[in-house]
Amino acid sequence: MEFERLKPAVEDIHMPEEAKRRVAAALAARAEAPRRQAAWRRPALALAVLALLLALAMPAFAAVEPIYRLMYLVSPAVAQFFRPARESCEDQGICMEVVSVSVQGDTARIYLTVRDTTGEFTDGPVDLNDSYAIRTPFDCAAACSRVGYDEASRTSTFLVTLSEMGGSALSGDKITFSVGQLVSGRHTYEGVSIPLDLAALEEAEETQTVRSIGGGGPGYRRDPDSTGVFFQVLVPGAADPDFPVEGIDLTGAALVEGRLHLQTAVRDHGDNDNHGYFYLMDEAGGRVDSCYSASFRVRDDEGTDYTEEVFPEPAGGFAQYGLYGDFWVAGRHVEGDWQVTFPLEPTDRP
Amino acid sequence: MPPRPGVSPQAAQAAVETHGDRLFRLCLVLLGSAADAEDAVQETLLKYLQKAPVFESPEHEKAWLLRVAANHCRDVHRRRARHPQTPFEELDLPAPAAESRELLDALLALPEKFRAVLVLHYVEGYRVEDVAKIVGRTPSAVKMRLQKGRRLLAQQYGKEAAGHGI
Repeated sequence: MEFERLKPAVEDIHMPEEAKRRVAAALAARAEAPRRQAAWRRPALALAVLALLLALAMPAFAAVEPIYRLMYLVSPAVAQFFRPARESCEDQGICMEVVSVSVQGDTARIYLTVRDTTGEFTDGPVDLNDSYAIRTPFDCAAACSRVGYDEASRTSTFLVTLSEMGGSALSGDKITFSVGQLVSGRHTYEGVSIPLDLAALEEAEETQTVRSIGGGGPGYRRDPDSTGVFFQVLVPGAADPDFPVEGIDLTGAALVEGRLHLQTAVRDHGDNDNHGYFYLMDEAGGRVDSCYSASFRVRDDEGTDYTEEVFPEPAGGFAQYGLYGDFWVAGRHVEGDWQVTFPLEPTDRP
Repeated sequence: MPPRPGVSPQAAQAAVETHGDRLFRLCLVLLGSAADAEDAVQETLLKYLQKAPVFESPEHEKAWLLRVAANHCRDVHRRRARHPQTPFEELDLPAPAAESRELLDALLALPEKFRAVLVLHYVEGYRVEDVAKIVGRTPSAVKMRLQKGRRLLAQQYGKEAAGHGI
């Protein structure tokens, strides 16, 4: 059975227009406008300044005290609602510590740090690589983002925000925050110019048909009579030595039936999540995005993910355009078991 | 205390237009009832408009909405004494293509926990880790559900197709 067929089948379901009208009318009648939150409840500016201070000035000693000191520097009104937690765990020389917790009504804010105690495993700020999990005895919506990094102590600071889904006040329940993977040295290439002369493109000498393992864009469609999603792609060649992104190889660039095919390869994709996309831009800043991209693997090399992006010929031809791209690549990757359990006790009254 | 002003009809309409179809699909598949799905969309968007959460990105916003909707559907299931499965053609919705209908009927026949992960993974395109966050389960539990859900769906689809002479 082809499970890709689920997508078009389910996406064929649309909310009836009459139902939309009923819901919109009911919402307008029932929903109250969101209440303006007090400054300490949404300390966006304070957090931004805190992040900047953490990034620039956090001293090289234990992460706990500087966070408090900086909180008070930025906003005593914010800091007084945080309570020290100091629960920590360590695996492979990397220490994760819950530093402080603030619980206001149905929302908790948690500062935690990840510190490479030896410097052997990380190379710059760490990313949790979507490997974190938050276990709570209640339904909640949660988000986690890095807010600072101290190079001297190799400490990354994260802010976790979670809200009880039903709006009930949090009252001392224990939660567990766990992380299974860390990636450090993630690097972003934005708007990088690719040294490929689009005026000298040649027709591909050889193509192959592959089954897609994922993709997107307006041109990414399956033949309804087919048992999978198949695309005509370039046969992978040697990596272009001039491609300026480390961690991603350019393995093909050619025309196929008048359309530009660009093929990239990522080795050990499961370990690094390196990815990106190309776009064309002319001198006036006019931008052309691909009409679709499709990823695939080839036999005997299951550890490499190939992605082919396809561009229709723009007005004026490819020669009028330069090739650019945005790419995200990870440096070092470490797996482990970091897990901390701590209570969410209300801190409404310091 | 004076009543606070309501959300403008334009904001309500915009929320429905932007998110209605996606939420309705998920809720319909999870609840097997167009009326219940409509209610679930309404409750989800009500929370969305009243709480007005701050989102980091459109993806974050989408995941938040899907999670609230999935939680609401789970609550509806808890309240139901039993959940009769309704064939898609009885849902008072525009009829899909015959082949899609067989597949949707097979999907609706599965237990709710399998439907949720199958839709979030195969329709919304979330990775296992992201599905786990939305449904509030561990990635390994989601992998197990996907594995079993695929098997059940293939079996059920075989029955549906055979029953309709496909």
